[in-house]
Amino acid sequence: MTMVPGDRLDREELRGSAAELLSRYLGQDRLLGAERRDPDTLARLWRAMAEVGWPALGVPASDGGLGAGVAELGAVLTELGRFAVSSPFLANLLGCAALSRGRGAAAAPWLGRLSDGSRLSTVALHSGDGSAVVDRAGIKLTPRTGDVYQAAGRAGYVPDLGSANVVVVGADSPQGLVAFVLELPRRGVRIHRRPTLDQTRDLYDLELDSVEVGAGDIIGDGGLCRHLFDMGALFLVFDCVGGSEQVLHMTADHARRRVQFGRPIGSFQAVKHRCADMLIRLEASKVAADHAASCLSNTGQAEREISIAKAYVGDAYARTAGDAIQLHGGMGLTWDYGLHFFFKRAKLNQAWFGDAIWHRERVAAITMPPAALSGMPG
Amino acid sequence: MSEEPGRDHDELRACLRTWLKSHVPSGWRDTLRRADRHRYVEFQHAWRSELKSGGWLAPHWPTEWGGGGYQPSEQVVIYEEMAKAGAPRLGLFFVSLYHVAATLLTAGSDGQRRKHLPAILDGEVWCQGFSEPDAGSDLANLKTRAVGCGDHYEVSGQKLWSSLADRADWCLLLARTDPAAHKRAGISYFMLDLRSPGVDIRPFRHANGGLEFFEVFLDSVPVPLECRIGAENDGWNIARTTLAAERGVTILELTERMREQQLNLVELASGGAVGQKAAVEHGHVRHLLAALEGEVEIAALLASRLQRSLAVGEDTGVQASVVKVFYSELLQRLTDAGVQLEGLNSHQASAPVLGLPWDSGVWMLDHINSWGWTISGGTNEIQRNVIGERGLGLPREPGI
Repeated sequence: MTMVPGDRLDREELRGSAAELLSRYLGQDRLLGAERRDPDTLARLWRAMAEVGWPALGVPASDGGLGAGVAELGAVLTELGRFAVSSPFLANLLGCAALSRGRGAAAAPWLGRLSDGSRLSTVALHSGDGSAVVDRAGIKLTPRTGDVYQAAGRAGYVPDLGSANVVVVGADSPQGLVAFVLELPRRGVRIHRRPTLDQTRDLYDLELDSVEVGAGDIIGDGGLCRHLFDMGALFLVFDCVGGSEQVLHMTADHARRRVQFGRPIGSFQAVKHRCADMLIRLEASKVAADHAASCLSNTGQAEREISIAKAYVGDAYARTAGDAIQLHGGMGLTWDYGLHFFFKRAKLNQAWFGDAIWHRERVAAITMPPAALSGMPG
Repeated sequence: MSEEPGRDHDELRACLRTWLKSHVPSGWRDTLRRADRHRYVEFQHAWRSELKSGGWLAPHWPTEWGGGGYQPSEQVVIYEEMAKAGAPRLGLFFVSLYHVAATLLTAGSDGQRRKHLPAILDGEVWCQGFSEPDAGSDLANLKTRAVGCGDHYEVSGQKLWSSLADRADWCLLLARTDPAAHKRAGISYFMLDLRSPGVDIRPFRHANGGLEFFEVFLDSVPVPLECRIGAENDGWNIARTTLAAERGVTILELTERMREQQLNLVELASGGAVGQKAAVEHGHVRHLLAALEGEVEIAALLASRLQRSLAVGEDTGVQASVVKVFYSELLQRLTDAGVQLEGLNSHQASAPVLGLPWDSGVWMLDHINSWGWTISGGTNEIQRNVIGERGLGLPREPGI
C-alpha cells in the first residue's frame, strides 16, 4: 500500500502495514537469525520501505512529503522496535526533523531529495565521549574570515552515518550551541564505524579536521539541538514499547510450552508473576509514550513528559528483557535463540539520547528548581 | 459531546464544578484529623446529605431509584471533577452505594430494591460479610452455614475483616446453603440485618492502632427468605459479577489524590535537612522524587484510560488488575519515601485518621495502611495470577 502526499494517515493502518512489511522481509518466526543482519536483506528492506513511502513520513507535506505526526511515526517506530530492525529509518527521521525545523538556505534543498529514500540523512547529537551535545559538544566552530567557520572535533554514536549523504551536526560556537548542515563526502571529514554489542544498530564517529562551514550552513541554535535530542528520546521510547511487547510474547509463549516437573512452567507463580509484571510495565510504558507524543503534538513542547517516558520506559524495557532471559533459562543465554539482540538493544536505548538519570534530573529541574527551594541557613 | 440535549459534558462539568466550589467543606481533612469515631460518622452523614440535596449522591444509579441516571462517560466526568475538587470520600457508604446497589439492581427482587435503595440514599450503612478465617483469597472455601428452615434460614459462622461493621445497619453476606455441592456451587447471597438476634460484632485492632477490623460471629441468626438475593446456591455467580463493579470508579480519585501526595513529598524534602543540605539537594533524593512523579503521572494515565474504556463499554480485559497492582505498589513506595524523608520524626506516636487511611499526611501510618491496598480487593498475588492467566494465557495451577 503505497502512500502518496495528501493521503490521510491512520495510525492503526500504518501499524498494520508496517508489521506486514517487516514480517515479510524478516521472516514470520520471532527469532533473530544471521539473515536479519545480512546487508543485502537490509538493503532490500529499505528499498521496500521507500517504495511504500516510509522515508516521506518525516518530510513535511509542504516539502512534498507525507508530514506524519508524532503518533503516526510512533506506530511505525513501535513495529521497528518489535522486530529489532537494523534500519536507517530512525536516523533519517531525525535528519528530516532537523532539516524541516531548521532555518537557512542549506536545509531546504535536502527535503525533497530525502522523501524517496534515495538519499539518507542523520544527526550528530552526542560527543565522542557519549555526552549529550546539549551538555558538552565534541565539535567546535571557530570563526575564520567573514562569515566562515572552521569545524573541528569528534562526535560519537551517530546513527547510520556510513550510508548518509547529509548530517546535521550539533556543535559549540562563539554564539553557543548551534546545528549545521554537513554534506558527505567532504574533505577533512573522517567517518569511523563504532561497532556496538547491539548489532541491530549501525553507529559511527564523525571526525572533523579543519572543515569549512559557512554561516549559511548553520540552521539552528541550542533550541533546535535540544528539540532534536528530545525527538530522539521519544523515538526510542516507541522502539522500547515494540521491543517490550515482542519480548513479553516470546516469554509468555515459552512459559506456556516449556514443561518441567510435569507441568508448563507458566503455571508456577514465580514465573507467572514475573510475566504479569512485564505486562504491567508494558501497559505503563504505552500510556507514558502516548501521553508524551500527544503533549508534543498539542503544545509543541513536552520536555517533562518526554523525560518521564524515556526514564521509565527505557528502564522498563531493559528490565523486561533481562527477566525474559531469566525465564527462558539456559536458552535465554544462547546466541542463536536471539533474545540477547533485544536485551542489548534495550540497554543501548537506555543510554542513548539521555539515560534515566539525565532525564530524571531534567524532571527534577522542572519540578524542584533550585531557586524555589527553601534555602539552608549559612 | 453527548447527543442527548441538556446532557452536554462541558455543561455537566461546569455545573458540577460550580456546585463543588460552594459545597466542599473547607478544611475537611483537618476536621477529620481531629475527629473521633462519632464525629467521623456525623461528617459522613452530613456530606452524604449535601450530595443528595445537590443531586450528586448516586450518579451511577438509574433515576427511577433516585440516582442521577448518568451515562458511563458522564460518570467519568463527575468523578474527575470530584477528584479535582478534592471532595470528601463517602467511605462509610461505599459498600451500600456500590456493591449493594449493583447486586440488588442486577440480581435482587423489586421488593428488595424498594426496601433498601431509597434507604441507602438516606444513610443506611452496609458492610461486607465475605472473608472468614479460612477463606481469604480462597473465598470459595467459606464455611458460614445457612440452613433452610421453611420461611427463613438459620445462619451460623464467623466473618472476618468487615470494616465498618460496628457502624453498619446491614451486611452483604455470603453463606453456604449446600455443603454437599462443589465449593463454588453451594453458596447463597443474603442481606443480613445486623440487629438480628445471634449477631455478635467484636472489634480487633489494626496494625495502625485503630479498632478498625471486626469479627462478626453468627449464632443461629434467623434470616428471612425474602432476604436471600437471587436463587439459592447462585451466590457465587452473583458476587463475581458485582464485585467487578467496584473497580474502575474509585481508582481515578485515588490517582488524582496521589499527585498531591507527591507534591507534599517534595515540600517535605525541601524543608528537611540530611547532613549539611536540604534533602532535595541530594541527587538521589531528587531522582527518587522525579521517578515517583513520573510514576504518579503514569498511574493517573492508566486509571483514566481504564475509565474511558469502561465509559464506552469496551472489554477491558485485565486492565483493572494492572491498574490496581500498579497503584497499590506505587502507593507503598511513595509513602515509604515519605517515612524516610521525615526521618525520626515520622515515628512519633500518632492516632490513625478515619476517612483518610492512606493520605492522612502521617507518613508512617499511611505507609502501614498501604498494605490495605496491596492485600484487599484481591491480593496483588491473586491479581498477578489473573493477569498471567487471563491476560497472557498462562496455565492455571492445579487446583483442588
